[in-house]
Amino acid sequence: MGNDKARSRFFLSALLITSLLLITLDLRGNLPSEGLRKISATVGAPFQNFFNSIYRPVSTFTGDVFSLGRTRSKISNLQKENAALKEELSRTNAIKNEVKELKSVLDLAGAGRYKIVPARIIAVGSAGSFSRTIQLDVGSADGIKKDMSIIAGGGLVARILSVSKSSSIALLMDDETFKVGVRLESSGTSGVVSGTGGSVLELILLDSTSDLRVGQRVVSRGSSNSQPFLPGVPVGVITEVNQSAGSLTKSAVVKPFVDLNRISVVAVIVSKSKTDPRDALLPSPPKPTPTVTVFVTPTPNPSPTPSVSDSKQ
Amino acid sequence: MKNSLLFVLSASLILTFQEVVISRIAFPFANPSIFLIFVLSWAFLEKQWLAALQGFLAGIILDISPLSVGVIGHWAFVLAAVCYGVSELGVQLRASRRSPLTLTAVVTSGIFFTLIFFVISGALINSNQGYGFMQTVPGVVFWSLVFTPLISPVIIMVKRTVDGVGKTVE
Repeated sequence: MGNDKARSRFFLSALLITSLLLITLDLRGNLPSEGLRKISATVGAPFQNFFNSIYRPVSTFTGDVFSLGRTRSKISNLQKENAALKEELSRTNAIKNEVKELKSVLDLAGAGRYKIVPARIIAVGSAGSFSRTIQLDVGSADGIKKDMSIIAGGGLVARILSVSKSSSIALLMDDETFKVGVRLESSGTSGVVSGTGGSVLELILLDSTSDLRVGQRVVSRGSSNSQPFLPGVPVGVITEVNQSAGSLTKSAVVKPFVDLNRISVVAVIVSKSKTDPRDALLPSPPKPTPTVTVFVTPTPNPSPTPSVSDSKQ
Repeated sequence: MKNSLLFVLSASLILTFQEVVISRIAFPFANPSIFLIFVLSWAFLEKQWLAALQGFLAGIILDISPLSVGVIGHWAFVLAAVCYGVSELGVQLRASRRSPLTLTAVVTSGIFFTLIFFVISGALINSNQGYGFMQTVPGVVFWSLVFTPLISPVIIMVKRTVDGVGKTVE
């Protein structure tokens, strides 16, 4: 028994020394450990494939069972993260839209050589008076005065009604009390555009004999001393012409270039250019879509088939 | 000798099973080490010198496993020593050697000492495997408490069969 124990200890010592020798050799890089592991992988591959084939069908089940709690907390965390990301995305989209609007306003102002003060719409409408008004975050401290024109990327939007130190109220173009003197693109025919309370405006031409067509574009004519309106600011496009025989005036429906319900950033024109831009600020007209016309030419049959009456004869 | 050969074959298969199946199941805390449960259970039922040899061979299998990144000889060193100790304990507890309860207690503490010994010896040979193991020690020990009573009857039965085969061959 005592001999057995001594022999076992001796054997253990020999194994431990062998292990230490292997460790030393491997640490010194004298052992082909990579090669040994490659051989081990090759030998073990068939067994691995066997166990894999057994494990694969149940892997999803076991994964679901053991990670049930973790999956729940993961789902909860992901939901929170998703909500935060959605909020951030919505904020980013809002900022993107504002930047886009601001860029188009700046483009328009740059083309018209207007000096502008950018403004953000901080409130819309007044339920008490049922008027289409907006409140801007700029006021007299920013150089804003009553009756200044307000533009957005597409063209005219409103005019300043009242100004306080840090904010101002403006009347939107679609308000029924809003009126702006306009002229038709190229022809120079004058008229007055007024709000209808809806999404479109009404144009009344002063000269009933003038030509009025759908698609004609309208720009502001300009007020005396450019207040409230500057000349050449795009207003809208004619979408419908009202033909009433015997009437002294001609009228049309004008769709504004700017969607007044979707603006958030505008610019107040604080100083006009020395020259009238005429039609230069109008957006480039849309290109007509080519229509495909198919002509069918009937070709006579070279060998006419005998008619029923012929065959009877 | 036949015993050791059968042990090496079984250990290799169990390690493959461990790597392909057990380690891919996301157990809470840590994954159980069926391989260590098997090796230590076997050592508990084996003679000291054979337990040391089989522990050494099991360590070599672990060291040259394709998924192993440590120094070759490290696991061999640790398992040879621990298996010898576990076998020595088995000899001392001769009366209750084949009781699953004793086996569970010995194997679970054996696994705990194996991992601690591995971490300490790893720090000594600068193998950089210490911290990861330290975190998994409680989980592995917990799962060995759960799995050893389930596996040990099978191991005891296989060991009896192998011993019988060995005796008839010898």
